[in-house]
Parts: sequence; C-alpha cells; structure tokens
Amino acid sequence: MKNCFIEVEYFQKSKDSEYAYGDRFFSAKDNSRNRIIAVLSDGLGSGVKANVLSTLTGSMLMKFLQDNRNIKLAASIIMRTLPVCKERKISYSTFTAVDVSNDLTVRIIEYDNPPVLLIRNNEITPLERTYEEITDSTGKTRKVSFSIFNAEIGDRLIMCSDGVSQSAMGTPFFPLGWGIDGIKKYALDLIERDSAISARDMSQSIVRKAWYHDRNKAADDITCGALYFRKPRNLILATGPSYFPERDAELCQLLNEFPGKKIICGGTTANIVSRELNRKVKVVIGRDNFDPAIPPHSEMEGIDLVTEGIITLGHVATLLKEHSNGEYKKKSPATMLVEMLLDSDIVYFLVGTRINEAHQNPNVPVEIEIRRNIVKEIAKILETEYLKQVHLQYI
Amino acid sequence: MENKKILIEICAGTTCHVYGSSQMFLLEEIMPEKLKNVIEIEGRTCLGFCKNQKEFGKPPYVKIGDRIISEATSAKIIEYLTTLHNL
Repeated sequence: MKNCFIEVEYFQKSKDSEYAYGDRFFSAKDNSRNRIIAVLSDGLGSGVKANVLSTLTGSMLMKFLQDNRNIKLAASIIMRTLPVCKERKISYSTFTAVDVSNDLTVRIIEYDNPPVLLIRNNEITPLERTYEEITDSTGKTRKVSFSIFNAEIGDRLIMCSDGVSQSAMGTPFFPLGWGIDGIKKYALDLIERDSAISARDMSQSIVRKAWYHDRNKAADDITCGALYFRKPRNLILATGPSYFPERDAELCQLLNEFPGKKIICGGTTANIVSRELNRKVKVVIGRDNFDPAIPPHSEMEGIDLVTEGIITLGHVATLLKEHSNGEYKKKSPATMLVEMLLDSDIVYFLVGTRINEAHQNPNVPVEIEIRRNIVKEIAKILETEYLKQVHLQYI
Repeated sequence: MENKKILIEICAGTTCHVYGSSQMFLLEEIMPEKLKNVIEIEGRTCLGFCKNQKEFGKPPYVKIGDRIISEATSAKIIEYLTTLHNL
C-alpha cells in the first residue's frame, strides 16, 4: 500500500426534526496490518431508536471484521442480536461493509443498502456479487451479498443509505426518487468537473444534493461514505525554531526541498525561514479571514500558508475535534490550516523544540500550551479520527 | 512634510496577540482621513521585542518609523501620529 493512499470520508444529514442520526458510518485503520475497514449502517426508522440499531450493527460489524471472524456468521449473529421493533415486529438494520487489505484486495459485504458503486477510469464498473441466505431472529431468511475485487489507483467507492437514493421521491422530476442511476450520473458529473475531487468533497456534494432534493428537509437520514484510492498528497508543517540555533539552516532546507504543500506555524519560525531563504514574509491585513481570536496569517513565496504558532494550533486542534465538515462559524487562519490538513494524506510535522522565552513570563494572560503537546494532540486526532498518516520529527 | 510615508509595523506574534494586538489590524478602518495618506501599515510575524521586556516595556508592540511603542493600541498610535506630525 506504499504508493496508494486510501481516503475514507463520509457526510450525513439527519432526518428533518430528528437530532440523532439514524445512519452510522464507522471507519478504522489498522496500522499494524495496513488495513482499512469502513461500515455504513442504516437503522430501522429514524431518530434515537434507529441510532441505537445502526450503532449496534455498525460497531459489532467493525469488531468482527477487525478480528477476522467468519463474516457470514457475523452477519447472522448481528441479525439475531438486534432488538425486535415493537410496532413492526421485525429486527432490522441494513449495512454495507468495505474491507481493504494491505495488497488492495477489497471485500464488500452488503445487506439491503443501495449497492456500492465502483468508479474506475471515470466509469461505473459493475461488481460481481454472490448471494448468501441468512436467518434472522424472527426466522426470516435474508439475502446478503458478497463481492471481492482488486483495487487500482484512481478507483473510487461510493456507499449510500437509502435516504440518498430515495430523496426527491414524489416530486414531478423524480416520482420514484433520485434512484441509484441518479447518484451514478451525479457522481460521474462530479468527477468530470474535477477529476481529482477528494472523497470528502464527493460525499458532501452527494449528501447536499439529496438534501436539496428534499427541499432542505431530509425525509430520511441521508448518509454517503466515499473511498478514494489515490497517490498520497504530502504536507509538511514546520513549527518552532530548532533547539540548537545552528540547525535552523537544516530546518529551512528540509522545508524548502519538501515535495508537497508547506505550512509554517509561528512568527519566529517564519522570520527564520525568511532570513535563511532570503524571502520576504508579508502579514495579510484586512477583513478577509479576520478573526480577533487568532493572529492574522502571512504570505511567503514558496510556502502555502504562514500563520502564528501556538494560538492558531490550539484552535486547529479544537476545530479538528469538532468535525466541522467545512462549515465554520468564522473563517480564520485556523480554518485555512484545517482545510489544508484535511486535503492531505500524509502529514509531516517538523517541530522545533527551542523554548520561547517570552512565553515563560508569568504575566502572560492566557494559558499558552507547550508546542510539543499541542502538535502531538493534533497528530493523534489526524491519525485516529481522520485516518491520516502522520510523521513527527523533532529538531 | 516629507513625501516618504510613515511605516507602521504591527506585531502579529503570539505574545502581542495575547496582550491584545488583534484590534490594531483593523487600524486602517478607523484611521482619520487626513492621516491615511501619510502612513503605510504592515504586519510583522514577530518583532522580537517580547524577549526583552525590561528594555522595551510591555507588549503589544508597534513600530512607527524608528520608534518602538509598547502597550500599543489603535488610539495610542493615532494619538502619537497626530502629536508627532501635528496633523
């Protein structure tokens, strides 16, 4: 999987009038075996009840897959475990599971969700499915489909809940709903417009379109997950001057020669790079991206973004934890940084460890965190919650 | 009156920010019309004075020409410019 990065992202809207999502999407990366698992589950009904059902299903399935259990057995255990709905007298939660192993073999298990779409070379490629019958807790037999294929770089997988395919149902344009063909066409349109569209943007666009079909009042939970197999996008974030000032030149060289996007966080660091590489740094003043809580960003030739250090990074950590999905209350240098981080696959942190004397002053009015800790925290969130590959280097 | 514009450098570093420098980045909006033509506002990633507060006084810092102003505010900058240049 060295030259292939798998971007896994999802986006969802809950049914109008419900706060809890009835659909759940889980994804996990097993670093030791370089394996990625993603599960989408749609619980019966909507709101809290559906949320409980889909969470149960999704988390059980994740665990079974991670432990390499027999998947047919797992599916039957799940169906027998789910509580029976009082009104409808059935226990029910659909699921789609995608399991990508180290050698890019993809296994897909589907039960009653709209079929997973594979897009290869800008075309919908049909998956070969085999079906198995499984008996649930009420004695009914249910059909589960299995498919397996080898992924190639550039492949995309799209998985949706029925809230997407059934959006717009009853409207003059789509009396029977948007349908799987509508999703196919829309996804291909998106790729035609931007062939490198990220899985994140893809899932968001599809969900927003379905939501729009429902006149911005979702008739059912709308969820779309997307996987994109692509060449990794690199990003380096340099923050803090090196412990030994004589290594500053090395820091600048590392930054300058890095193949990918470059970010500098920290006024002193920016000054050092400016001095060593003999490039001017210009603070951007004005209302654009202005947030009184965060110092303004700057521009430097050859560097994609220059921001202040510790305050901005603190906000970045908060924003990442919130999973704002591109919907920010206010644009700021921190949101710009978050967008860049999320658009990358492999993130290198180059952390200078020199102590800033000015921050040691006990009169400094707000708590200023130690740089190393905040970077560690951001790295951990990116790794576990956004499945990015993260490297930390101290200098 | 010399033709050269007066350079105002506002520090955007961490220390100055926590001492309240952010409002000064909107200085141009509140600057009196008569002053607007003679000044030029620029930000600096870090002026570096915070490391030696005994000598330079408290942050936030602004540099106007060669003069360092400590505990700067927009009002202080405007006041300084008005008295200095008799505008």
